[in-house]
Amino acid sequence: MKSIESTLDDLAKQGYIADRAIAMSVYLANELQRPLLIEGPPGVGKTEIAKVLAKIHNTDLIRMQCYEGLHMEQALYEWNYQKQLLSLKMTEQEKKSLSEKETMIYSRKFLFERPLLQAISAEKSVVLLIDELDRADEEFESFLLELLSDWQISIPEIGKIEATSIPKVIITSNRVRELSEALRRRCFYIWIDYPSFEKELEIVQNKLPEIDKTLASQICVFMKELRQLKLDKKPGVAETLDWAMALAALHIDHLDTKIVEETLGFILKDWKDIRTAQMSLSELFEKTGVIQKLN
Amino acid sequence: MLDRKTSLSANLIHFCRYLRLHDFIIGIQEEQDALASLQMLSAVNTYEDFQLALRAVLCKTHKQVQEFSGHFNSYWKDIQKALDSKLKDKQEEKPVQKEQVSTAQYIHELKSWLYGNNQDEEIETATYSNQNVQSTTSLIELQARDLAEINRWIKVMIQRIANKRSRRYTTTHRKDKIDLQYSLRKNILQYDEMIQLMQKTKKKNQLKVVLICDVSRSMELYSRFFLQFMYAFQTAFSRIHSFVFSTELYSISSELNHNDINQSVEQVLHKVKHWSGGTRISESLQTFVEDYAQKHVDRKTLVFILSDGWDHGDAATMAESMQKLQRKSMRLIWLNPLAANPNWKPETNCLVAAKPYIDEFLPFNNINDLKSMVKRI
Ligand SMILES: Nc1ncnc2c1ncn2[C@@H]1O[C@H](COP(=O)(O)OP(=O)(O)OP(=O)(O)O)[C@@H](O)[C@H]1O
Ligand SMILES: [Mg+2]
Repeated sequence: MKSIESTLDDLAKQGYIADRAIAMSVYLANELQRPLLIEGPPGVGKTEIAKVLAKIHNTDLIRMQCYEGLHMEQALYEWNYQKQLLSLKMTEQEKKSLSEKETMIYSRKFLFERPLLQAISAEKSVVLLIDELDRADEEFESFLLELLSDWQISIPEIGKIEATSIPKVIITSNRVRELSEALRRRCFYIWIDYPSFEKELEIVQNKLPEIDKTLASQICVFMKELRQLKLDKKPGVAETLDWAMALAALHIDHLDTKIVEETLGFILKDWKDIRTAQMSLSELFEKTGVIQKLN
Repeated sequence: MLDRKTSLSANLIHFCRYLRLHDFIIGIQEEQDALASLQMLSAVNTYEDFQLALRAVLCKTHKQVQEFSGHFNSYWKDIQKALDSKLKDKQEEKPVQKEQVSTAQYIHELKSWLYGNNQDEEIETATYSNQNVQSTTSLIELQARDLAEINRWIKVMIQRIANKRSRRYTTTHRKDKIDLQYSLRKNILQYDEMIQLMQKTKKKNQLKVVLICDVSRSMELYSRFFLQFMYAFQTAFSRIHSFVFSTELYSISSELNHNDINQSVEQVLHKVKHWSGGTRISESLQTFVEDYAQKHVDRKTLVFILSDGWDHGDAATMAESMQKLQRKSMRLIWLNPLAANPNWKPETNCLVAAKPYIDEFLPFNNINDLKSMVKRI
């Protein structure tokens, strides 16, 4: 990544459609070695950036999926008790003092290394994806903040472990809870919204090069209008792609009311949302039809 | 391009301040990020890239992203215009001075903040073209008002503490003492002269103050405010001892005792190598209790801790140190820049452990907080 231009290029080569603003943030975060915090509604390509970044840098992606009640142990390391016990059993005969035995079993090879420890002990800088950090609690967040500034962890039985390489960090959040100011300030920030019609069309055509052009644009207009409705779970790009793939597989070349009604389940998962959409279908369809006439 | 660049970094800092007035969280780190990000751009980059780069490093929330281009346009478009007309007018061009931002700028800000912002206003207007001052004056006024107010409230606080002291003077019968309360009542002395006079007289009052300030990374934004606060405190009140900590504790009283705030700050910066590093509150407080409390804290001492409590150190040590501090001191006051946020809860284990031993726990990150604190003291 030498410039924004080349960053845009790199992203495009990996099939990630990004505007200049996103490319700028990715570029600067990489150059200035800062974590990238990405927020936005579900399914708009937050996680995808991390995946693509790993490919661009030709390195591993280590993913730390956050959830409520996530503990440090699950993020950092756990002692492999079984292995420790086994090893104690096996050395029963040897005359070792208690403290010798302790040093033996409390060493690094008796650790299960969890994502964060793995990420900082990699030879080559990896991409570390901390996905949906808003789901973890504040305690975890502040611990993470420390790690992100010190790049070392301390294990009481062993001591300090310093990072062998500094990972490229991507943090995503769906804003279930607001992340702390301190964490935000540590990161560069990107907000990704639902895509514009043009962007979504580009994504669809990029992922499904064979798809009929009229169909692709109808799908994208329809999705754009659909997101304007009052829905509980607005569909993301992932749903658009699912739907487009299904329609293409059915060899459909344009949308009509019947097809849309039959396949609505691909884009909406909530029955109330499906009903809302059904009720505004003709209206939605009118708007989609416009594109058809233009083509 | 070069000419543009010089005024660019100066203006960049002012732009950062402008954003700060609009609820952007911007400290030294962000200012440095902004400068660094522009260094990543090259001649091929457009004006739009310039905006995108600043947006990428200065916005930290969705709301800020949305508002950024509005702020950007109202600030930079004017400067752009001003610069263009300046460049045309060759006579006005002055030799380009290389800028040293970071510490120099920091000190400058601190100083102007403390001294009512007079010099600042000059510099600020100087970077704008005279034809275009109008749209920016509101900014300057706003800033000057803000800063002057901070200044004023610090003075009020000092005065209140000074008044406590003056009461003690009136009870003495020695003739070489000035009856300050009398002076005050008669309004013979201006406030500043009075402070000077008080500094010249022997300090016999019993009240003492200890300030312990967190300067770790999470506190970066606030530490400049706090440092200024500490300096102001110390210049007007002699029985004060100031400490800062991040991963270790340092006494900075002698540094702050310089007559020149520039030198003071330079020295503090030099001394605190771990400036804006990680935090070790509990260890730092423990060091304070073990090494300094005996000497500096007694039942007539107000102890201020200025920290966000963002640390997961040892809770037991924390509780123990806090308990000792509370017992030894007159009042233990914790000023927390985060506490003003309604969503904030004191949940780090250090704070939870400390809580029972805090006499007053007050939000402290802006002028209003300063005001209400002054009223309580
Ligand atoms: N700009 C884009 N370019 C290419 N593909 C994209 C883009 N945006 C989204 N996608 C596709 O959309 C799908 C969903 O993206 P992703 O999983 O990154 O969403 P997300 O924002 O992480 O959602 P969630 O909040 O639910 O985790 C992915 O399969 C990805 O390929
Ligand atoms: Mg995701």
